Amino acid sequence: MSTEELIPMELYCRHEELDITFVRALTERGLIEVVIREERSYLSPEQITRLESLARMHFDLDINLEGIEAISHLLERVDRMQEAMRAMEQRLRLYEE
Amino acid sequence: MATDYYKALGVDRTATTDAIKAAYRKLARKYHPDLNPNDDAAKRKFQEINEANEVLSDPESRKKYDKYGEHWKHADQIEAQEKERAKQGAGAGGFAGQGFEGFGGGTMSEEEMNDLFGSMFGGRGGRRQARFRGPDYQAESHLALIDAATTHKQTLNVNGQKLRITVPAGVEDGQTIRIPGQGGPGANGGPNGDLYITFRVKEHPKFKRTGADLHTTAEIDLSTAVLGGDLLLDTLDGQVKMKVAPGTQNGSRAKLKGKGFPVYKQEGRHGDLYVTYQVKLPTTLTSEQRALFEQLAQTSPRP
Repeated sequence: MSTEELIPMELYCRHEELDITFVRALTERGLIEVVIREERSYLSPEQITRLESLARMHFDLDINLEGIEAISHLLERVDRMQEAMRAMEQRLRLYEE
Repeated sequence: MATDYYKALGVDRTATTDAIKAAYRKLARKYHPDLNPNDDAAKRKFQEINEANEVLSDPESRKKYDKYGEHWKHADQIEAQEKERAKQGAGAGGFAGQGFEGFGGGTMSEEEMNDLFGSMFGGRGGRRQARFRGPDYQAESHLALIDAATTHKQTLNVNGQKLRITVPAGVEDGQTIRIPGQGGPGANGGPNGDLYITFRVKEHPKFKRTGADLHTTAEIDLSTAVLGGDLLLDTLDGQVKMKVAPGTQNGSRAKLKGKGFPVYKQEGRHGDLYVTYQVKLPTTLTSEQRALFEQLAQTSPRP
């Protein structure tokens, strides 16, 4: 059995001085997943890592939400392509000798 | 890093704070690690522009950089030494100033100066304008294939600091993991950067890996290939005995389920081990063996 580590969203936003409406907007766009327990929203550590990255794009790089959405889709594709490339490189190595 | 910060951001030395910010944002959008996963060159470039921005967007640091170049971090010591020398040269009571020289010709206290910087940075009132995240660090960890098959602790030396990490079983060659907050320190209360560790898994002389599957070759003699038999095969966990089916062809493959590599972060799951048979033909025959082969050839149908 594994225990789930969850951080209350409001607490996280307060601690990080992050506007909660920004997190809600990301959630509405499906860019962040929150866990709802007893009507409270929680974030998992994986989602916090993702949120940090999206917050950097927005606040540090001045990218608006539409841009973040487009970038997220493209990054997922890049991820899949890199994964496929790595698998192909490994397969190629089988025939190299 | 002895880079020309102005060059790094592509601005000239008279650029305004806004121009510097705009140039940084433009380059950061191109090279930020969040936008360039697993791209070491982009990460290095980002570190360079991040460092340049941190210095040039802070008026005090910029002033020091303009005056002392790459030695700007030691500006206070240099100035203190210069003052000391001047004092010694001019005799007692030569230095009286307590504050900084103000932009308008008067003097400003340090507090006033801080207020001014605060107002310059605080225009948008957001959480991140005055806080700078520390730079991300990169590290490489070299592993033998056997080591990558087990979850184990490893001590890395990152920027002179020892860091103990857990390497999960099943990491792949070229895979990068991120350890939040273990990068360079942030500025103005900003968070630390992250540490990215890229694993380099060395090739194994016996096993080739594709994802969680392993591939190996096994030599069998002609009689085992024809008649079938047992084979002792090396796996990651030690030797296993496997059955070779009668009529096994050279180059054919057999699969040993679950004898491959551990699946990353899926405890208890393993890939498969694929064995390619190499049938070894005898190169020298005794007269008795030759006679038997000739007898066999006469009984076998010719193509």
